[in-house]
Amino acid sequence: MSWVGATADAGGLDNVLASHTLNPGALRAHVALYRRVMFGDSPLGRAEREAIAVAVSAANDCHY
Amino acid sequence: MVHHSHALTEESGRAGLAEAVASGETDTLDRRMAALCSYARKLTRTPATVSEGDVAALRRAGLDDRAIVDANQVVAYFNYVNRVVEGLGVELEERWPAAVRTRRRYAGDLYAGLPTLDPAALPWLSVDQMREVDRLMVDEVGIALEQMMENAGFNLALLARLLLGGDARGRAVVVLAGPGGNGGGAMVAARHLAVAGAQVRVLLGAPPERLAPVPAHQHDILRRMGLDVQAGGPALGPADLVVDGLLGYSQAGPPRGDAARLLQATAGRRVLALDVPSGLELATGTLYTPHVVAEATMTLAAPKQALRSPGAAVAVGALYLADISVPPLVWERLGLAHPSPFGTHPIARIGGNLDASLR
Repeated sequence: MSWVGATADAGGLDNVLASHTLNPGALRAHVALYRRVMFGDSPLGRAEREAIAVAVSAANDCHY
Repeated sequence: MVHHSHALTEESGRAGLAEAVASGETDTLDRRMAALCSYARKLTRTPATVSEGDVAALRRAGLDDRAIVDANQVVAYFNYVNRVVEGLGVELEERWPAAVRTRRRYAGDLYAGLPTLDPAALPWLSVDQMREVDRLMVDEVGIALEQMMENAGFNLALLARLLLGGDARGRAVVVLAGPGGNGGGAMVAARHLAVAGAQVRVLLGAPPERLAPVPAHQHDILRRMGLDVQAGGPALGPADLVVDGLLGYSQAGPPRGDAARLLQATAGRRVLALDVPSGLELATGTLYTPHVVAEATMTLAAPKQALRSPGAAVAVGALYLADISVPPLVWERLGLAHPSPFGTHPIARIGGNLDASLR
């Protein structure tokens, strides 16, 4: 859950995505970027990309 | 953190990898991953300081331009999504175990924006040189021992707060104070932490009548404040953090008596050591038994040679340098070039291995 409302069909989405279902265009663009950056073809391996995610989130103290 | 620590564990098959990446301990990472994490951390913390040299470091680690673009996109994406989470109050889903859902701090020194210093750019002092720094400060500059001690203890309390996750209030801190200047600095830290709201207990490594004059003054202040100060080596009791001010840079030979008993009792505790971990003889680099195993050591003015001897690493932990306002004329008298490393902050980390891989 978050501090803002969500659309009724947000059930099943992780909370980070459900948090901005009120702007469906931004949500779609977010998901497209996420999939491309984290799962798309890349010379970076999956573990390398997840390690960057952990390094950034730790530096930001973002527990989620 | 929680989502992608889990994913990193799944993708890599290595249980401790996420903690190593989060804490910046990159010794166990391969060169590519260490370089990627260094770049990610720097671009997240201090984006305006990223230079072409940082990209060159990624190339040296074997990454081509496409890989560098992709790494940059991942860093940028997670800075975006972290701000979605923090800005809208996104909570972890119910499916995560309760132990994982408890919010915790990861960044530590990163969070406070402490700079990292290049060890090669610092003078590493002998014990005689450090003694001469102290003498010149008092005799030539006119900075009294009380003033140096106040700066040392104030900075030590600041670093203790950071190690406690940025907030000392309500936290149990046990301060171990010896009879000399090191103990005096630790007692100053005890005062500042107590005033800041920590639950502070002070255990003396020697009977009060054996305290040197300036530490005795600090001790008197603590007693007037009504702090819990005890001598005779009682049990440590509960402690979120132990501050080690038992023995300073002049220590020689194995710790004895109450100091030795207190040092033994620090086993398994989180310890922050002042200037030098107790049990490490700086003149020779000998690590005696007992000694503290510090999570961090905050040394003063300039690092001392033995703090980087390989055998000392286990006792020293992460090494920090704190300002006690030693002016250039003191360094000149010692024949050392030592431009102040405290331009942005009175405490800096010396040579974190994460940043070392950027060089």
